[in-house]
Amino acid sequence: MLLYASLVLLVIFAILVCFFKDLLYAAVSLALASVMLSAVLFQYGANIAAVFELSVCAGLITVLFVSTVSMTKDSDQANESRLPAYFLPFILVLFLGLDFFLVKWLAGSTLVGAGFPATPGLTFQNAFWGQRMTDIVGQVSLILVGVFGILTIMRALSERRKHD
Amino acid sequence: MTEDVILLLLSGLLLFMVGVYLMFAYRNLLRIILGVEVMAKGVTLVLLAAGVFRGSVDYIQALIVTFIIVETILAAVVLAITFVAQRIYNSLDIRNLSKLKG
Amino acid sequence: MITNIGLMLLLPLAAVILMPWVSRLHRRAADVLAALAGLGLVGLCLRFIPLHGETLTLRALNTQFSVDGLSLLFLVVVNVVGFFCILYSIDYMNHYDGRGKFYALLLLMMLGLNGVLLVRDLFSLYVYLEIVSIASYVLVAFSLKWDGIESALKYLLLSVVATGLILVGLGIMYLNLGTLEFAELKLLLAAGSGPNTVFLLAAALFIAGFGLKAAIMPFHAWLPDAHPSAPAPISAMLSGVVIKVAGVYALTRLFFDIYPSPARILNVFLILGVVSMIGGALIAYFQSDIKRMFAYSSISQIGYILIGLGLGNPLGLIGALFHVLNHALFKSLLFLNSGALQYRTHTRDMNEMGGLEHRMRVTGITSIFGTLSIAGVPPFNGFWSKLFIILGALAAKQYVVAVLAIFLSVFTLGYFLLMQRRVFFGKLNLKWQDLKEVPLTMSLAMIFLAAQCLLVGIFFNEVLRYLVEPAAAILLGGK
Repeated sequence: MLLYASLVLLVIFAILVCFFKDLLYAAVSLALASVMLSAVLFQYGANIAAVFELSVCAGLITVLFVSTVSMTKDSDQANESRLPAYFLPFILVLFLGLDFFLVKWLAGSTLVGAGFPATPGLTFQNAFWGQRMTDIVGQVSLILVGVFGILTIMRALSERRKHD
Repeated sequence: MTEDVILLLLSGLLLFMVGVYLMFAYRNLLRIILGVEVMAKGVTLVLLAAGVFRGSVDYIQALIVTFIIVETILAAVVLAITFVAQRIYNSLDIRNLSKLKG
Repeated sequence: MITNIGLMLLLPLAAVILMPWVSRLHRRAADVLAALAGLGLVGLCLRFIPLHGETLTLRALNTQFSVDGLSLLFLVVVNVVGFFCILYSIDYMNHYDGRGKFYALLLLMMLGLNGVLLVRDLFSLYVYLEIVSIASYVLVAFSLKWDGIESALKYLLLSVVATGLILVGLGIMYLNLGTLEFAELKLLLAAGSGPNTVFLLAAALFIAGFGLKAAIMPFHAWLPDAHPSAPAPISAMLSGVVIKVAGVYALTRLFFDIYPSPARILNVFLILGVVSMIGGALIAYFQSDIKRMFAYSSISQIGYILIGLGLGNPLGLIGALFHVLNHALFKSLLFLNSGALQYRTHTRDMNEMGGLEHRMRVTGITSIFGTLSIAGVPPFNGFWSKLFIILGALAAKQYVVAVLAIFLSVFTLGYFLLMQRRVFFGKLNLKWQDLKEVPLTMSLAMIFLAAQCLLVGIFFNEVLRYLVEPAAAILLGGK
């Protein structure tokens, strides 16, 4: 029961993001959606993913987003078009239709049987540090990309810039 | 396929589509980024659905965690570009000064 | 030998970590570090060639990376072109600041590209692909001028959607088959009877996602803006390397190695290929911005590669894979040429140039090499790969495709000669009276790439035997 409630709230909050004119409210809605997603993850025992979702998506990304919003306050937000928000209900119907069709198709077709069933006793620790170690090098590199990337972008703000 | 897997897939794909819509319907960069985030939620749900169906939630957890980390770095970089774009060019409108045609 | 696989990732990582300190030591220190790292990578990947496509796997600390014939071809492409782009950047970046960060991002991008080629499961492929993508967004925006930022954002939008599509496809694959590892997927799909309809959905998502990354029409919209705005070495890397590794490699791995695809899926490749080949060339003809023209030309050439893949027969596959190598060589050469032109004239508009061959000898001559290669004139490399693709089309009785390919080849020669005439031949536009040739490293990089276009064309037999055929063997293995 809790699961269905969280799922429904998640979808509602995510869709609401479109309807708020004030970006801050939209950001809050997104954060609430993340909290709901976190709840859903908890329900299935994906504890670590849930914690990550909570702290990173509901927390870190919201903070980053809100600070960017507040630092870019004086741009042309006022004359932003509201059209997409009005179109959304119609588009939603379209999406739902496509969605139902796809999922019905997936549910109805035979999936390749048991294939490789989950190995018993596979904890997150084993999975992450055991099987996904290949990604770890990747993630270290990604963090470096993020660092250098942001430094590169921010250098535009420094006084001395050579021109091409 | 059990009922909750179906529900997860349904909502996941729906959020994915809504996210893509947000990305392309709006001109303001910040709303576009919101669209990216909504899309990411959708992807997480689809992955979760796959994991629940296969019974290997822990393995999928590892994938989801990695995905969250990757998307966070992406969001940080995009927000940085947005911030600088606004500071220097005073505009967050992605179609502004569109000298480049398709 | 096996540890070389690990070194391919650790070497650029070490160079990137050292970069901040090294670049503070001396103005040129960062250049040396980057060039050495690039050279090291080239050396490492060349050591794999004598294996004749035998698969090597590194299993250390629970990771798994392996090299096989298919990876090897693309590895050579990535690292060789990458090294020459680094070499070129040493002088090209005189017009920009933030050198150390540029090299760091470029090396990280190469790390990501190598990683994509070395992993053995789909999710890791996604992770390393994101490294490439995020690094490339920043590199496209590097100049931080408005067109750089705007192009980077447009590129980013489509690329993020592509990533999303790939991930949803991944989820559905896992739902369907319970694993994401190449070897296991191959076994499962081989045991099944015919294409599972769920697999077709995942396949469609993958074609859309990786197609976006490969800039195939109709998924090409980001390319014509991203390439001109990026610094020239980055345009060269994007067009020559990234779209191939991110797009073509992933598609071949999925649809030929893991799942030997039936005609239905191959026909999709064929159709997309023909559309890209024609559309790209036609639009290229009307461009006055030289880099934009090259960008559309890349879309056209990727079309050729897809046609070769879509034909499915050995000739077509060999032609397509060979064209991957050749296009990487000549297209990066052409982009470096355009960068050289931009470096001296500060414009990309071909109408403002003219008669530059008198002032920029090296650029002019290497540009002719590039033009002849892309148009498929013997004895340059492009001739052989296009020939194989056309022969493959004839062998598969796709006569229309063969005729179109020949016609488009002539058309390509046409608009490239037009470019040559506008830029290099004719009377020297008086504006450029005092122009000089570009600095040493830029010239060297262009000369080496041009030489390779010719040498690969002359020694095509050896190149085929050592690089292309092992890759094709993997693709044909299932049949």
